[in-house]
Amino acid sequence: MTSDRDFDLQLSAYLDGELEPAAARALEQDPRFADRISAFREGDDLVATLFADDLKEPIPDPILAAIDQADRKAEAIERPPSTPPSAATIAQFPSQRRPQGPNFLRQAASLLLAAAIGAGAAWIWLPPKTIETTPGWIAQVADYHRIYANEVRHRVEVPASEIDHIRAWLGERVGGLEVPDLSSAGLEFQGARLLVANGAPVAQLVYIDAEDRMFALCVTPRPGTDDATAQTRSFDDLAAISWRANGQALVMIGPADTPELSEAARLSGAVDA
Amino acid sequence: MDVQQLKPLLIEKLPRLRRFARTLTADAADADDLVQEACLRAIERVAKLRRQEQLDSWMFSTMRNIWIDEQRRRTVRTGSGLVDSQETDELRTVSDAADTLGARQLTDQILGLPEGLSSVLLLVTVEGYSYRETAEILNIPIGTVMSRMSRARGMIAKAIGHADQGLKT
Repeated sequence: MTSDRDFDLQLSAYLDGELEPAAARALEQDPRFADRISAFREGDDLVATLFADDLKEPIPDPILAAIDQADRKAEAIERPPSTPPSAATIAQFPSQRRPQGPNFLRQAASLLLAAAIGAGAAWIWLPPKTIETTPGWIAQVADYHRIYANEVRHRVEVPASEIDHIRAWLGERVGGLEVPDLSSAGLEFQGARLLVANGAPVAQLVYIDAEDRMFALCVTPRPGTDDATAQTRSFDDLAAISWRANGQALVMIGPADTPELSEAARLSGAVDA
Repeated sequence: MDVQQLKPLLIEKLPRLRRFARTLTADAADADDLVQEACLRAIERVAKLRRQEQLDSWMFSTMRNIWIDEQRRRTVRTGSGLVDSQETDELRTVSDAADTLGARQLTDQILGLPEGLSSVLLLVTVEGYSYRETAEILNIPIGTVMSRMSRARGMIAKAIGHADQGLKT
């Protein structure tokens, strides 16, 4: 049996989808697997919560002012400059820098900033988006999607005609499952299969459009904070819209640049998709 | 991409950039200086930023480079050595580890991860980079990414275990 240290190394890589399949299967058979993966997952969830809290801090004004000033300085450089670029272009921390550039630029920036803050500063402060925990699972789902999209006979494991069985079987695996009707987005349900990502079950509901292109709604258990606001990612030729609801993480995935994808995500419960 | 397109992108990313910067620096003020410097550099080099999708990794990588330079500058100035990631399995205790560990102290323990571990943890588990991408951003070997992830998770599991035991007593 491998040492605890080597076991942890492999298990950690397994959680991040970085362990090759043969080693992953062997790891799952190890008697230490169940307890240790549970402990690691609990730690990951706690870390994700702490890091998510970091995003809630307001941005200090000096950073915003510096970006605004640099913007003006960069524009000034594009036009023939009346003064040469200042010492600010040297990489030194601001606390150690000599005064930057002509006074009037700083004053103009301060006035603009003060006016904007007075006006509610909506243009300065964009609310931070909730960052999805362990987004690595979506990359893995995208990989699966790309492979199964090329299948014709074996596109699904259980066909749409057995929809009740699909709800019961996969619902039990992922903590509840609805099969949304996406026909108003032009998508027809084909059936489902069970995937694995980061050691957790993923229900894959497969749909096709009029051109036989594959779309999928994937659902995996994810306890923690729900957030129905859609997050969009691209993976080369695929786009993925993800959100969290009812203790699950969901992603609608399909070919990039298709309006049906956003509509399908909205029909499935994503907000602002 | 031009400066007018870049500026709102940078502002939108500021919370994540600050969060990453804090995993590099121990000090919040240093982290903000680091973010500011990286944003200014991005604006200066906007012509070189070809694709919006690469902006995140470029910013993280740039912050890492600036911080390394800054640490070297401080070492020269003060004569103190660079602090390496400690080869210990124990967390730095940010607060006194009492017999009963509440949630707050557990948080402090996790935030007290040795240098290098929290950056890797953030990039892999939250920002979603692969081990290879993380290695490129931080300019460390992939094996180091793998071992730091494992060490971090081991330390956190231990801290949670102690917290559970503490609450039971």
